[in-house]
Amino acid sequence: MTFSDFWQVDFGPLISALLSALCCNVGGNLLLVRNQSMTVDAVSHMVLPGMVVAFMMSGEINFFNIFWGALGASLSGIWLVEVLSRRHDRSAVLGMVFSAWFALGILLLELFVDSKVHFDVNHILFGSLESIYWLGLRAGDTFDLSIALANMPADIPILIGILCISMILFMVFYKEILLVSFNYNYARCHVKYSSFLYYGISVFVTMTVVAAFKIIGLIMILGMFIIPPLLASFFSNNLFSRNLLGMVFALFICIAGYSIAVYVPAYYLGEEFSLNVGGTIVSFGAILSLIIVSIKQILFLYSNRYDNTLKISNI
Amino acid sequence: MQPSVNLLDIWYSLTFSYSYNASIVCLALIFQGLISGIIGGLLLHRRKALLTDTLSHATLPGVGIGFLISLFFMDGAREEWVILGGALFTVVLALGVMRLLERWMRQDAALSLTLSGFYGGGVVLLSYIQTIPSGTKAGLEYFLLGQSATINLAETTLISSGALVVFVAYFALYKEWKLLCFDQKYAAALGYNINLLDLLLTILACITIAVGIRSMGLILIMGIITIPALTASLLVKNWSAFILTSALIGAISAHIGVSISAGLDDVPSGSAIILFGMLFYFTALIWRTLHDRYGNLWARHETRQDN
Amino acid sequence: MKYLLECKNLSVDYGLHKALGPLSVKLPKNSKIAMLGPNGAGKSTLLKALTGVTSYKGSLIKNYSSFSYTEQRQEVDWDFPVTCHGVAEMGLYAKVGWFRPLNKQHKKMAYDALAKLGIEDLADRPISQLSVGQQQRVFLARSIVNEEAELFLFDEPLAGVDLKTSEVIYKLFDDLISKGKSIVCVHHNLYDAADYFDHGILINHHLIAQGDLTKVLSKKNLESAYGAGIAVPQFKKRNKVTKVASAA
Repeated sequence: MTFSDFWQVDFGPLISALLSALCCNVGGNLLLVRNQSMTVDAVSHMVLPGMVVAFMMSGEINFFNIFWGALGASLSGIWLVEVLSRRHDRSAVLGMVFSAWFALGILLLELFVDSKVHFDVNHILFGSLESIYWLGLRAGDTFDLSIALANMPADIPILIGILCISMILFMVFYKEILLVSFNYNYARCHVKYSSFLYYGISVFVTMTVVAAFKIIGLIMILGMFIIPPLLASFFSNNLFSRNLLGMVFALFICIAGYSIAVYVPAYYLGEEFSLNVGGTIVSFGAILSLIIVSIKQILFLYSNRYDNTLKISNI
Repeated sequence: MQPSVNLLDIWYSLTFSYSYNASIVCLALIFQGLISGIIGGLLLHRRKALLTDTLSHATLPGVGIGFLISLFFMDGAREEWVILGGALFTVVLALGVMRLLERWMRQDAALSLTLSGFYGGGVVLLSYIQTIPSGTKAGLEYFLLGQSATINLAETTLISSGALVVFVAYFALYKEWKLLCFDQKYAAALGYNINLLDLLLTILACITIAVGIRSMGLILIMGIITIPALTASLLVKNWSAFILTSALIGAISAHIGVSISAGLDDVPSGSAIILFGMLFYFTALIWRTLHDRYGNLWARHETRQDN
Repeated sequence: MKYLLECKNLSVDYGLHKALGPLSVKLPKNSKIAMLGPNGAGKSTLLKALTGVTSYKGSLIKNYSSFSYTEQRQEVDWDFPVTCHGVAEMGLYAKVGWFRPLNKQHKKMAYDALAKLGIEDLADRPISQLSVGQQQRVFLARSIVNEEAELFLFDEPLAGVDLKTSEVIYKLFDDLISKGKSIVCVHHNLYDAADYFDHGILINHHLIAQGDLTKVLSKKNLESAYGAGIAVPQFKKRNKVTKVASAA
């Protein structure tokens, strides 16, 4: 493999995976501290009927159609969850609503979408990272920026936009986000408009899911949301530094997972073998978290340092 | 493309007189609905409904492992029990990982980490299977979305034996479940081994999920476990009646859903079951809202506690 | 006399369930007011209506410019990644306003509030490592850090805390009163209520009695709130407890 191969074949998928992981990390941190990380799983399942309806109405798979359709479906689902969870246990309501939305999506797909049309559920479920081609990228003399930009996959500018906006919003509203996540009722009666922020976070998470799930896959997006913040939470006790540390971990697991998925099987088994990239990134991250949390627990058990800090002083 | 509707087929399927194979499928799904209702009711009151989601996604690597075993050690004969056994194995493994992680981190973080880890591993395994040149890999994706139409007698036997285990465990430990779901600390104080009971409950959930992925698919199984339980919680407030109602709603929506799918071309049975369950749920929700607002619509005397 | 707060025919519905019947309450200025009543009587609900967290019907006349509200300790997630100093700072967020960061003086104020509750040495400790009493003190530090507030609303600050912490809270109340502030506090223990408070509101969905605490806690009022057979608390001087605590 040469550098030119990497530039032509691997750069597009890799940069998409990196960008989506960075986007997910911001929302994931907020959900993790609110104990609502399973919301991502529900939201990602809820996109299906919206995508199918958008596809039925427009007749073509266009990034923007899919985006708005998926956003509409998942926002309506989340709204229903918020309404019904006043009456029931929130987790059960999440499960009910997402399975109903998903069932509706499957039904619409079977009923109204011709099987000859390329609307592949497997692509949605497993991610389409391998099918992202960034034409026009050439190493060396033939590289032309305008061609490269013109052929850029639509996901990349959207993800860059979401990442920039989310980081700016996170820094500007950091103290309000902290307050709303920690104690919503207190925020509501003391800080004006904080309920907008509370629901705004949910809307933002939904948008991130919708923008990123096509790349990583419908269900693996949960791993992208939760694993980097979880890894960061083992090392930091501050929301802001968790966010930055989570970015580092997101970059690390993406590059490592991509390498494992693409280069290792090709090296040992032959060129035609490669694993699903999204799945490899997520399972690598999960194993890494498992190892780190185990080491942390073992250190916790066999060190006196922690005993001293945990001892409540007699005040 | 319009679906062709045959109302007579729906009626035949509802009365078990469509065909032998269809009746087998119907029976399997009714059993599935019954035990999902029971397990869902118990999990709802343990506040662990999302555990189902994690465990059902954890079946995917098991399906892959089972397929590989049947490919390499059994000359490619697609034995369903090997695949289901693989699914049960990884679900129980995921359960073990979950219980370990729950001590070390928050519950929902543990749930999501286990879910994404196992599902990611399953996807990797499936993508490896796709690149194996030989083998009948067609049909593996049915485990994602469910495919009840091709259920045969052997699978129905598997599902009903799983159902039998759940029934026996539920009725044998009736009062223990009640205690566990209501107040586990009190149960512990009475001398019950809470960890053991909880483990038993989650293993029953594992069985329900493992036998259910073939008919419902690993995503929609979440629906058939939560919807009947939530519907029943709107309708009745008495524990034993609650579990019974939940099981019955599960069975009825499964029966009607699979019959509709028999009569209407292109309607997948899993979706039909879930959407019918949602219809029940919203009916119950409207009834409950009216009941709360305009007093007792049902001719029963429920005294409202006014403390 | 002008009242701090007057509510007329105030009622709260939770969904379809009536949480708090119509009641009319008048709260005097610069006094320590205990809100008493059995479990589920709507004490926390009344507090939430006063702060605007829940919607209510009826009229509410507020003769104060700003207030400070402290929820029950159990309502928040104590594993949240924030330090004690960070929690205390949160009390200033509303004053500082959107977009603006906190400056050095604000950080000093948060530190002083922690010092007032005797936990300045815990300032940089994550809140996940606190005991119940320390958690309550951090919460109270957050509520007093904004000194502009005129009314302090506390939801069961004395529940489950040890003698030492309750002593700190008692001193805090006196300190606030001496600065001309008012305190409304949900309280459960009838038997030490008179130690901390001078004014009482007894509710059980409806108002049963309000006024001077010793008069509110009469046998007739208590029986109509809690049912027959409740032992009427004997009022003792507080000094004894103070001595024990200071000796220890």
